[in-house]
Amino acid sequence: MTHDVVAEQTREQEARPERSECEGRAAILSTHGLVKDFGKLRAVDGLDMQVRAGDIFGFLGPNGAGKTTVIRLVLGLIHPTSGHAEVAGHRVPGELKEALRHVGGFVDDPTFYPLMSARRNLRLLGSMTGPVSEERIAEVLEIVGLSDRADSRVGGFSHGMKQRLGIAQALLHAPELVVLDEPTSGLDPRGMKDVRELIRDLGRGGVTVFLSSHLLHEVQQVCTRAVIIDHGRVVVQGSVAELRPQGLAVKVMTDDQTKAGGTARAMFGAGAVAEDDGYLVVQAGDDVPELVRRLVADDLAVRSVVPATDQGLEDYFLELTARGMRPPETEAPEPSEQVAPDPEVATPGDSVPSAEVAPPEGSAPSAEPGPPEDAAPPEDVAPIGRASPDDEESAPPVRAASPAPAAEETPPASWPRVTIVVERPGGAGQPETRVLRPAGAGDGSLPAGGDEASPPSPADSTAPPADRSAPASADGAAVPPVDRTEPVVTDRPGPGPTYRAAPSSASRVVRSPAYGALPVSVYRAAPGSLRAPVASSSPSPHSTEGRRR
Amino acid sequence: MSPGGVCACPPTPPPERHAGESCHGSTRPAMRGAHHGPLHREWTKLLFTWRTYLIWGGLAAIPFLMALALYISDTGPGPGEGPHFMSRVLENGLYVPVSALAALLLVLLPLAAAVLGSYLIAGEAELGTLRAILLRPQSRGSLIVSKWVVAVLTLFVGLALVVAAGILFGALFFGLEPLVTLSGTTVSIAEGIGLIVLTALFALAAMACMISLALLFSTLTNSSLTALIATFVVFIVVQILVTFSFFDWLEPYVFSSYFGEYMNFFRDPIAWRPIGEALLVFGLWSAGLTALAWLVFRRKDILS
Repeated sequence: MTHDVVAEQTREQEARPERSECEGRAAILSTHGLVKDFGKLRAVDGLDMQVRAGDIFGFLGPNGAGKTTVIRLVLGLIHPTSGHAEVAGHRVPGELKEALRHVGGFVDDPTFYPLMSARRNLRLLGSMTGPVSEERIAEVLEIVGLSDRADSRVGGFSHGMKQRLGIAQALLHAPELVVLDEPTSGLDPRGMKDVRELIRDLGRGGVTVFLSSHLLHEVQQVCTRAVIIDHGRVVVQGSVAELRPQGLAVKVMTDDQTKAGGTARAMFGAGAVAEDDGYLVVQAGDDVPELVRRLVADDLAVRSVVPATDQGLEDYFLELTARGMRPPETEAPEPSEQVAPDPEVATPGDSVPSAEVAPPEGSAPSAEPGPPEDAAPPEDVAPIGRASPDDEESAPPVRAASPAPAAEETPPASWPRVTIVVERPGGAGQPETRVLRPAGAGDGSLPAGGDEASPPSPADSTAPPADRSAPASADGAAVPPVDRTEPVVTDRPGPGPTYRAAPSSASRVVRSPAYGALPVSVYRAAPGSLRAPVASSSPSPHSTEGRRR
Repeated sequence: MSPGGVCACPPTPPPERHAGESCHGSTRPAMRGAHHGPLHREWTKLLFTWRTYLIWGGLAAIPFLMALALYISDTGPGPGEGPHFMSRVLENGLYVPVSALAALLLVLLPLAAAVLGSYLIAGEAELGTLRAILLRPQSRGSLIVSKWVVAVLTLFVGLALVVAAGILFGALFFGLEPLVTLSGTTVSIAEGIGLIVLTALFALAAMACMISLALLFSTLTNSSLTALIATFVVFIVVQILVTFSFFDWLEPYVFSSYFGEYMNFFRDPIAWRPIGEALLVFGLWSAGLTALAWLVFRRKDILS
């Protein structure tokens, strides 16, 4: 079958020279400024993406990101508010019927007529695209391993079997583009593996597979290119190799984890070592061989060193989707301009060049990005710092040694959580994050809960500065030297709260002269997530659930 | 789902291109097979739902139960009581299908039509199959028309069962006699059966309006029950409204006002004019409501 598909594919490309070319390969599916509003809710917000012929394209996003809505738009089930999609050279909406001739797939769960047998369902659905031979039906049932249940009623099928049957009906006409919406959901591990191998086989055969998923490792295993969307917008798009965080952590198991932890901390800094389920999770980057050498040199018996891939990807995904929280670019850019020249924005250091600063989660101003007046004046910008997750629980992060600014003030109850990501220069552009809180933030001594709606008021600033982390100096001279082991937080003084995101939660990329072209993104976390007290460096602040929907 | 299933397929040579042939997979020679039209598909779907058999069974049971009840009690309703022609059943079994149709036309037949119509789109939306079939290269217009046609066809089968069962049980219980028309003349049994078939077809045309109305509501909601209730509420409200003299002006425009015109088949000669008017009204309503349903469905966002 796959060989035929290759032939189909090639002929198709020859036959359709009008298709827009994308890096040498024709785009078989593309969206152009796709917008879909449901009432006041903007589910898809100017989505531009391109799936090239032959891709196994991962379509990632958290629940509610608009994945299924995009698929429905692309396949003409719903009509875009504006923009359009192009499928196999046909515009959708407009030439939907022609476009659908080249597509097989399902949206949401595959559905069938429960009283009919699997075979009859395939016959019925297949006949809507064109003639289907019984041999072909038997063939696709064989591919998905349902031959022995071909004549059973679908109503008695398990979810996983329906999922398989959904893939069978997608393949029925050997389409050039197969759109699968979370095809492995509800499958047992064996079934998942089968489906992934099937998708890889399809890809090898030249079929373009559009795989919607929220399982990162699935996309990582299967896909060649991927897009991550959140709130109906593209967060990042590219080849999966690019999307993967580069400095992957490894999980280490030795006979003496305490000692090994010491060795690892000595090498990479306390911030780069964590524990997970008995394993040491070490952000070793490319220095894994050296780590192992040292461990062995320290007379430790290394039992296993495994990549902590899932973890890295998950963090990365959460981080990316958190970035998607930003509202449209209409937000005021001033804060970033002010930050840009500040050398403090980036703390030099190559072990943990990124930091996420999390003020106490006492409250949230409002669920929607409010007008700038809603928050304290944004002349100042969130401080940048770095700290290890370990530090958050036990001790306040070490701050830059700088005098307290006159206008030091208590973190207002409405402090937003600030996430600052410093991207590694020259590195893979894979920002890492650390959750960081101002001193005292982790012990509940800071305002918490209850004041969600109240914007910072002048009264807030009268609270004792002791409650606050040590402020940093206004000038960049106080930046401490690079230290792998010492988490450093630098604060910039200002009239407003030190830890403040743009009131609009706009994301800004900051170029720091002190650290070369170091893009720094500053964004505010979901107000909803601010209500819970800060617990740890868990990714919860990035939780994207329930923010806009 | 062995991946080998994919790999094991022997490489078949690419099919030869034929002029004007689109080049997607289904045109490969291997794909040649039975090709069913949309009507065939919709009919298959209806045959694979219990509901259809319930409706048919119910419709076939009515003349039997009616004949049985009259046979056992041996006293029919007096002239002018009960459904039309019921009082004559005891003398002539041929009146069983006529009175069954007359009785069904009041409530049960519109109900069956509303059930069939309201499931057409909303039923598939509930099942989730609507999105599956709309991912196939078929126009929504042909889908809606074929669904409407098949629903009418289903009722046609149901009405045929009423007529067949009526004649059968009428003959068994009471025997068939030549039919006495409303004008007092007598027509032969064969001619009488012909009149009964015409009455059934008239009822079908009336029910097509109900199906169209239900179809419209079916496209407006994702719940077939909601569509069914909406259809019936509208049907009953209109029926009640026209009983008030204030709404007399409404009567000629409401299709349910013409349900009783089948009586004109039993005049001698047949009064074609009121029947023609009724059929015209039914046709206009059916076409208008179905077109409206298509307009709604054409632009509908399928979120089920």
